[in-house]
Amino acid sequence: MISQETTVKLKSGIHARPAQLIVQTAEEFVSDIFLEKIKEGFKANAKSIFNVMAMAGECGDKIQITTIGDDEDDALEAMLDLFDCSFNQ
Amino acid sequence: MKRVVIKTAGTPLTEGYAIGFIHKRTSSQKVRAKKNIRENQISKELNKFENAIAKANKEIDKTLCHLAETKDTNFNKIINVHKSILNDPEIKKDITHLIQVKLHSMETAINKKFGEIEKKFTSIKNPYLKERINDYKFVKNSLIEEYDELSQKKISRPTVLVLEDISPREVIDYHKNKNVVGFCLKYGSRTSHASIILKSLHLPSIIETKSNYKKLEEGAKVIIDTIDNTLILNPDTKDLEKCEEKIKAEKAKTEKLKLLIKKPSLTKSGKLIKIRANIDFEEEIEIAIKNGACGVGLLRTEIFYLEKLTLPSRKEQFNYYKKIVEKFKNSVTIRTFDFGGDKSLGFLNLEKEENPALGLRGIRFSLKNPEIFATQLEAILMASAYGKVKILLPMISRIDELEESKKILESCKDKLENENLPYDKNVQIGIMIEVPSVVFLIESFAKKCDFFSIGTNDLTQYIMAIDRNNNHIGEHYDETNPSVLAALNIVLQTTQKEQKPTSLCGEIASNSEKIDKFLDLGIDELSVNTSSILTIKEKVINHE
Repeated sequence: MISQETTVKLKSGIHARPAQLIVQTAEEFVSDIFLEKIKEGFKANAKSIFNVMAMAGECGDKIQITTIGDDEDDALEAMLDLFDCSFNQ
Repeated sequence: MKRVVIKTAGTPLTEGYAIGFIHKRTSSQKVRAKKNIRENQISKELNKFENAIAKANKEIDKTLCHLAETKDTNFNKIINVHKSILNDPEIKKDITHLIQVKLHSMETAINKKFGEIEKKFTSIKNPYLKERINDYKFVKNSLIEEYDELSQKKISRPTVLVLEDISPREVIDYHKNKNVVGFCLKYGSRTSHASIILKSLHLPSIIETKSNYKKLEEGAKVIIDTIDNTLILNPDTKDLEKCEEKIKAEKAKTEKLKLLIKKPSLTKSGKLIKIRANIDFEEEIEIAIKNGACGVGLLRTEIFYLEKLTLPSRKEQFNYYKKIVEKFKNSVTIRTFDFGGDKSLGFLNLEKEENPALGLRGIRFSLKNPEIFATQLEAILMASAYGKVKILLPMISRIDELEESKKILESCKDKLENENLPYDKNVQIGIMIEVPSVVFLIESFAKKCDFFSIGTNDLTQYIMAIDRNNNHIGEHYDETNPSVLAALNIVLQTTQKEQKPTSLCGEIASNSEKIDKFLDLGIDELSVNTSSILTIKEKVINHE
């Protein structure tokens, strides 16, 4: 299990399209992937679009990404990439 | 069982008789098929859930396939969100749990889980996220609708369906079952899209039964008589004999009308009135041919969405249009998508409008969604290589809408040139006259388009400010009101002077009682429901 913190830089927050991208990316890995909104302690399964949307990440929110499994390193990197490039938007 | 004769105040849709057993469905039943299950039914119920997901996935994949062709990235995004929701492991887990542990039926479990989701969404502040609840609703409906379709297959004896209301798509689904002989609807109005489809299928139907609705009990035998506008519950042998006789007489009348098929549609004074067919869906083509229609005056294309619930690709549309053009080589008028009003667009119509009749409908929708519009225009152009095709634009209210549409049409032509695909370079473009502003500007419009088609349903609604679907004031809705006739008079004087063909294609053209008034105005082209072609022809032949 590894984890790292990141920040939502997207102005409009994690809305439908970014949430879908998170799910789509998470599904490429066998590892379990969780996103935790540190402020509220809300933990979301990154493979569940409802969970990710319900987390309602706003611009500036700190998010803890945790990956557990065989490909946890690659998974964590892929997730961080998504947040860093603001979901290609 | 007691015999009851009900004189209904409802409106008959088609003239005819039917004998069948009542099958009733209320809206709430539709969703709450069965609340709970027994322990030995768990695996069956889970299987049903898996199947529903698989089927919905297939539908979505089909749409994505089409989208790859149109490269429409906006819709692509929406559909991908739907797919993620449909396959969401957390939602799936919870629904499975509700079935396995709480012994809920699939429908109850789905409703419960999605109810929770909806509640969660109301607490979300981000407006972008908040409105995504519609995506969840769409997925929920596509899962439960699956079940509904299955239940329809159970109908195995002559059945009269008694429903609160019906969607156009449901009419088509039910019609596939030959045992469905008639309909009684509690609500609905004679000009709604579902009614138009019921009419052309020629299924005896009575709508707006309201107060009688309760009396119609599940499983009872019933006679529908839409000419006397009566329903007979638990009829005796005498009733049945009488009705069968009437059905026989009806058949004889139809036979007599058939003699008119080969006759020219000339009035007594020798004026030729062209009678073409309104076509909503494929099954009507044969009926139109059989009844001797001299072309298709109005090919509605919304059915693509109603029936398939997926985005139709250019190829799929082209194949459909081509099929019809090949049957009616000399004249097919294809109307571009006319969404909005009572014709909603399944999953693409996410926003609810406060006033849909005055909202994003017809050409307004197409111009806001140029990818969908261009795909359709290209498909129509491709079909124009196979016969005489005309393009008809719905809900035009301003000159610039026509101009912009023509520009898009030109770019579609360029695209086909580049792809080396054949099309008719002189394809005609015309507009619907259904908004009063067009009446006032008819001279300008006549200089910019090739033909006109009068849609009396909407024109009457907008001139008189009466919602044609409103049960309270619907009785005052009248296409022959002097104001409507005066508007048509203005239109016809100009279009005749400018020599622009003008056809009447609203519901009224199929109304044998009122058609004389329009023939008197000088109308010489009609486009009518496939089932009314011969009765209208009879009227024309007897017109002075």
